Amino acid sequence: MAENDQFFIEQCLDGRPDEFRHLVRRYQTAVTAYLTSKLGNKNNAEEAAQETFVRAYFNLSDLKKRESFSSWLLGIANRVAKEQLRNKIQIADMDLLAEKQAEEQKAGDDFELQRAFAELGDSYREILLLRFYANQSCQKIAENLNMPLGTVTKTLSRAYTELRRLLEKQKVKDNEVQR
Amino acid sequence: MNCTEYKEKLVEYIEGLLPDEQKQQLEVHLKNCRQCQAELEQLNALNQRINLDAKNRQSADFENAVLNRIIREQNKRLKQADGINRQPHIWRIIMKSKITKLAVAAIIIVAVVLSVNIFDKTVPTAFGIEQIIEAYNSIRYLHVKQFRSIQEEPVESWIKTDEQGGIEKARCYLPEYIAPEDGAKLIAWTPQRAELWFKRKNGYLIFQTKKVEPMMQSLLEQCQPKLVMKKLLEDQKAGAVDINMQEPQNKQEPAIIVATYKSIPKKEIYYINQATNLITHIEYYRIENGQDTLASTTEFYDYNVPIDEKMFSLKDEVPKDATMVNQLEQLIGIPQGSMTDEQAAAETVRQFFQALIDKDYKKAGLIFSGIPEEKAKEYFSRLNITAIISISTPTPYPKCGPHSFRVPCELEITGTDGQKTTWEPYGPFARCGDDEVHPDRWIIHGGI
Repeated sequence: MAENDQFFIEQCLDGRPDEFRHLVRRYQTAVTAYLTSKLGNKNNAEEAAQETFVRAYFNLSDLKKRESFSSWLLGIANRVAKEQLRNKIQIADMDLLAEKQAEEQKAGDDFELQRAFAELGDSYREILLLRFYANQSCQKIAENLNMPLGTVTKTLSRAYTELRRLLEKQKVKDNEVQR
Repeated sequence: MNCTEYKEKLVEYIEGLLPDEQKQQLEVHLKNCRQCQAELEQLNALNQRINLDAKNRQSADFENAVLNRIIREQNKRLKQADGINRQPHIWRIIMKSKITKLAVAAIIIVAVVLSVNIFDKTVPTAFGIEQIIEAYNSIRYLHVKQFRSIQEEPVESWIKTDEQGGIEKARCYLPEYIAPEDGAKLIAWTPQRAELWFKRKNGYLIFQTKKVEPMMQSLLEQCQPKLVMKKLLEDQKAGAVDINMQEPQNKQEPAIIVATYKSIPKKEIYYINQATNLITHIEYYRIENGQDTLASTTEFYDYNVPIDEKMFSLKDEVPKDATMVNQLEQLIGIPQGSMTDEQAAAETVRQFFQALIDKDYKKAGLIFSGIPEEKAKEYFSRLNITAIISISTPTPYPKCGPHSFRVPCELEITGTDGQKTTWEPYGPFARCGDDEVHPDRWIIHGGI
């Protein structure tokens, strides 16, 4: 799939709604991961991710900078998450959530990582989501976010550092709880 | 470069973005510096950890779920948009279309001169019924919901078609209001066998395909868009219907075909996705006192989304305690032989009650439309029939089919206290033809 986001967006606006499939495929994991970190619940996150894409589809014509589709999409996801959190009395403390969720976790789910993601700054989270969950190369991210390549790698590097710090912090906390 | 500077280059190194010269320098440094080596290992580990998490999140169903929601939402919006006052709205859209405007203008000129009815002419448009029919040539799977305006629960069908657009396999859910006496039903239909699950009665029937073929065909004709469009085209050619088309310039809006029948007070509105030429939904209207009343809506989903083969068999869904009747594997009822219909009906009833008197529940079950021995025992053993007193002349009972009879009779039953009484069931009803492979076999189908 060599076509960029803009190509598919234009196809959709041109009356080929099926082409939206490619954008869903490209960003579903990133959006779901983002929402898991915001909502702390996998099922809610998947539902919210679907809602995010549906809203994106119906508002595509409002997107002025087509090259920033991914940031725009995460913005919608953020609003959906906020609405969900408002509608339900959610547990704000991620640590409490961790205990509650631990039982529901399927094998293979990395809940510590999700918690750390939740605490990351927006720009760090976005770059990691695009790099790993949307599987985009640094060049592609630079192109999509309209950023110099050097800025992308530097942000990525800082994102790693921050993520490691958060994971480390959690480990210490968890150990304290266990003790 | 010092360690701090090398560490800054590690991400670019992992990403394969370092120029050759810097890459070689870094690799030399890594060989000699434990600290930087450890840093690289940690980064790689984190990298792998995130990748694994991403992989675990991929969900194959997600994409389809989103697209289905989009189609549903689009249908909902369309309905809301023109639900309040459909006629003027449709008219407005029709008149907004450039092609229609031109065509109408042209026709009006002709009409003034010749006094012909404007809409006897078909408005020439870039797309047409033929194109829609053609678009369906590549469709193999579809999912259909038919709503009656007063009933909320739709008749729902999942269809796999063959290359000619005929039905290859189908699954249908029929809500209770279709046949209240049966309750809600699920049907799975393949060329080899048909399965029917009566949810309320918890009965599970497996039988020959042909028997339900006409019923399935008529049901599916209404929900196979290709056949619906072919019919519309025929009606149009025969001059039985007035057709108006409109094609908004914004390709995200649906194209619309309004079909008004000349001799029948009904109207149909077809909504077509302009990109694919496929129908998203059809609305059926009755025209009463000049007013359009929505009678039913058919919605189409999941074009060419493959349907799991499991959907075309009910065997894994039906509860284990359901009463199963497998007409493919057992011979039910009794043969007509040289008897007349009346004689055969009477004989069926006689053999059935004799089997109950003999406590031969296996035989009784086979005569009673093929229910299993244990079910026959459960149903009939407590009656404790001990003798047949009389069997009267059968009378035709067309309500249950052309070869159906009521066979009045008197039976002796013995109570738990040993007291004998006479009992007249309100039936029983006997008929032949339930087993399509053996159409001469008679069964009891109720009335006891």
